[in-house]
Amino acid sequence: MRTGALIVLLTSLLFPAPDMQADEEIVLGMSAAFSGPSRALGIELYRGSKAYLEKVNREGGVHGRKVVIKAYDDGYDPPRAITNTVKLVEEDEVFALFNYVGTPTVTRVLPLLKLYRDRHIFLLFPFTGAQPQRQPPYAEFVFNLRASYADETRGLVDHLVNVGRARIAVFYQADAYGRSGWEGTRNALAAHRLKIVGEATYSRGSVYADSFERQVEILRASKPQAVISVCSYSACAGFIRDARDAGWDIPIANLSFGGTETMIELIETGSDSNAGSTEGSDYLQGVISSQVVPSYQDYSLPAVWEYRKLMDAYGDVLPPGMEIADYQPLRYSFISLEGYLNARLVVEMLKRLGPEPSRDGLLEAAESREEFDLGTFTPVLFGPDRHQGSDTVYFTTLKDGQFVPLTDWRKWQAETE
Amino acid sequence: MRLFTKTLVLIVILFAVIAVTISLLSAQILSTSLTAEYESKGRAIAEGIADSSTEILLNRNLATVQAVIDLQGEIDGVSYIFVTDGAGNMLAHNFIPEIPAQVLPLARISSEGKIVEGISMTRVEIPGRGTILHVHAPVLAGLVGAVHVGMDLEYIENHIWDIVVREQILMFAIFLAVVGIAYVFVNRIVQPISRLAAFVRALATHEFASELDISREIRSLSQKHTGEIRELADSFIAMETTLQQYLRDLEETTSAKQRIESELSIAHEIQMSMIPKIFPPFPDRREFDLHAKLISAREVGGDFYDFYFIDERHLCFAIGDVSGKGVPASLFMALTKTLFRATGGETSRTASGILGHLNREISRDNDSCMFVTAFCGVLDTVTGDIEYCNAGHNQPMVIRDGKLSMLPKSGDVALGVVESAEYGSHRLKLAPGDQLILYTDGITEAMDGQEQFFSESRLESALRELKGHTSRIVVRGVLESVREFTADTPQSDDMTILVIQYRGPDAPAVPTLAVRLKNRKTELQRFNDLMREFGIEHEIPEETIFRVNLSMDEILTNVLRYGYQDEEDHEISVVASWDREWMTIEVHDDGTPFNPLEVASPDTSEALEERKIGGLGIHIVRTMMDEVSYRRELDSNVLTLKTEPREG
Repeated sequence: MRTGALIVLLTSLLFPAPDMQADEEIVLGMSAAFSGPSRALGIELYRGSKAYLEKVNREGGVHGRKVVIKAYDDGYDPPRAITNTVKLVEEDEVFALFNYVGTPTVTRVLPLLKLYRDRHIFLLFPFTGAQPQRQPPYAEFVFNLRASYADETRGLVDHLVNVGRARIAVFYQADAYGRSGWEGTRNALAAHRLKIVGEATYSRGSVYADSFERQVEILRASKPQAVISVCSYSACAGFIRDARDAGWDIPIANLSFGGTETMIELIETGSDSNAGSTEGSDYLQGVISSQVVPSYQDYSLPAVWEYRKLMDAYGDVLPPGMEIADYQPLRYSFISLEGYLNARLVVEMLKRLGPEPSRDGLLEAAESREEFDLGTFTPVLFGPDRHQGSDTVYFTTLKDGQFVPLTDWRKWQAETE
Repeated sequence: MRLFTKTLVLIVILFAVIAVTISLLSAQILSTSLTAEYESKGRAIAEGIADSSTEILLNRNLATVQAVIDLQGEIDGVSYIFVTDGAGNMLAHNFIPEIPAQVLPLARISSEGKIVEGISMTRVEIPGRGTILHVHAPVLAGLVGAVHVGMDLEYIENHIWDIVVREQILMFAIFLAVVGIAYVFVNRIVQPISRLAAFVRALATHEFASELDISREIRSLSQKHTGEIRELADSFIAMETTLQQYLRDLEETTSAKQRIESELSIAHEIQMSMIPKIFPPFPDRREFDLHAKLISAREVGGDFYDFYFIDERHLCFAIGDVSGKGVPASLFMALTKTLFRATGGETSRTASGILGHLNREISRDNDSCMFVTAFCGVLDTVTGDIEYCNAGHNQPMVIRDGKLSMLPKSGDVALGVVESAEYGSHRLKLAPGDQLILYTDGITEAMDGQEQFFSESRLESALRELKGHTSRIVVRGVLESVREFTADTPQSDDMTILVIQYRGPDAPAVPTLAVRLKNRKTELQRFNDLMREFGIEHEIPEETIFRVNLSMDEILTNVLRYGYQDEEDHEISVVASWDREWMTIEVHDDGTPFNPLEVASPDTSEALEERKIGGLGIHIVRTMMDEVSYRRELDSNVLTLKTEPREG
């Protein structure tokens, strides 16, 4: 911290701080789930970004302007996401939209961006890997940092097929997110001239307490060798629980959206009530999760160091103006790490905009074909045809209740009959 | 409220029919229109998605397609939406948790590379989802794919059910309202009707002495209502009025009849008062013994008898029967009898003269053509000669020397028939002891139950048995015979009998006191005074008079106290005679039959208060008198007392 304070001091000496007034803040608008069964996503993403921005602002902001997040809760509900967006643009006059969470929500918000085309409202780094914002006609209004679900599913499918697990079934959320994952899986399998052997859906908003036995039954009937689970963490946890309770020890692969620390927590704490039937750790056997950010335990990365340091320092800040009770923030998580990286990237972009940032300048700054270094050794590069910052997918598995990098897929080799 | 119950049942049936009909009809209409609307809704959704998805499908952006599906899938009645590619492969859908097997064939409608034109619809049964209207909308003629929308027909059914249930609830509410209104309405009809019924019931037991309370209600009903109720009320009021009038008339008729009856009874009284009834009529005349009796029928008849002295020596007597009955006969009888009295002695001294005069008087103004049969005789009390005349009357009978015979017919016509008729004079000589018996046809034509007449022969045999008796006993005996004969048969005509026994001029004269007493207590004192005067006049010992008075006090008190049950005036006849040896007293009263001698002699040892009524009085009489006898004579009690003076 002494170093940080010194930097702030030096910076303020070298560049005399402009008059910091509230209206000179750069406001980023965020609509995400801060309530409901997916609230951990919104909260953790916010915390990660906020920790970094806190650091930046304490150091004098970007060109003397503080970068703040104006956040609204949409509860993972598309209509509320639309309302929040209109509010952020019309009332709060945010500089850009940032850190949106969820495919169905973002998918529905996209037409608004087209509507606000003349105002140059961009959506920066939404927490979704779905295709709509990566394809025409909306790709031009969105900058993505994370890899797409297509990337995640392709990675999973390729690895699973490689270890002989060609019969793949899909458990997915009956909405745009689920469809996105389903489509990715379908397309990835098609490349191997394979098809999805079975599929089952659940409705958005399902909670851990809901039963997923029927879905387990449906999928099991198709005799798959692996299940790709395109779900939110509550449903992912519920599905794993019911599959294992049914004695089905099939590999279950989650996408980054669902395979989170909160999922683990749900299974571990939720299984307490089922003590005696199956050990909590047994539930997590054979669970794979693809991630779009590196492991926060990969100490080789400078970003991980800073992330952990900032989370320890500023991670206790929860989004203001929202009632978030009985929530236990995670010390570190893939989500908050993604939030941190998102914030770091937005700050880098703002820096390039200069002291008088404008929204239309954002596009120019982003598409400047200059790489951004986020401290992950993987440079991020945007261009007029490229709004996808990263396509790197990391695979993790569970060990001792924690995600660890999955390096050796041979362990998952299908037993030949 | 039977009427209301019937109406209610009717309304219930009516409403049930209406409710069912309307429900069926509206369900039918709703089903048709909703289905049509549904089809167009499904079509619109499918078309909308198809249109908007064309570019998206071409872009292979299934998440967006899914977002559209999710959005449209929230529309009411949409069971499912799915999108297939040109080969019929499923691209996006909103089935949870799995795609029903029944849907898969539908997905392949657009397969096989055929060009599909326009939207098609089919109905399909999907377990757990019910009947579905499946809308198939091809995208770019099916080359790109197709949009499938499943519309839940059960939603329509539920919708219809919902509406029908609402309808039924509404109907039921209306039904309740109608029943309520009907109740009030029927009540308005029934109320007056039940009031009218109550009125009729009240009328049935009403005596019309006063107006019924309910009448006023009925009258107000007539004013308040119109139509049938008013007519009914009016006719009921009219009925009451008519009934009242009728009963008033009835009452008047009844009272008129009563008046007439009372007039008749007055006429009867007149009749009876016009004939002498006290016997012996001339107690101080010893030459003859005359007794007579008239028993009138229920309706007044026209019988009469009369007798009077024309002079000291000649007794004129007559019996008659006016033709017809009732008031006219009675009046005619009164006229005849009055004329008879007026004629005798002044105009004529013979029977034929009297009857001749009478005939002329009666005939003169006899507009009503009534006639009278009469027998008239004049007795010379010195010689026993009788000059008589018979104007069409029954032939009298005579007992001479113990032989009964009928007086020969005289052949003269009844009075009032021929004004110029002459009546012949006939003669009859009676020796002392002979009896002449006059009677009217009421005696001989008295009928028994078999409508047989008592007849002259039965009269004769009755008289034969009564030979040698005094006139009083003969009269009584004949009437008793008639009564025995007729038994319970009602008397149809007046019955009259008159008996004269000639005793001769030398028959000893016995001083006699005849008193007619009224049934009043004051009469006791009067009798006592008369008896005392009688005693002084005929030198009867005071002791004897005292005993007689004492006995008579008891007897008369008894009669006054117990003899009469009514409040009418009655006569008690007392005849006392003194033949210097015996005092004889006869007491006649027409009171309740009562023989005081049958009352046992009282136990004098008992306390006075405990002794039976009458017992002590008779005891005194027995002690005071030497002989006491009782007899019942027709409708009279006759008590005869005898005593002789006692020494000391």
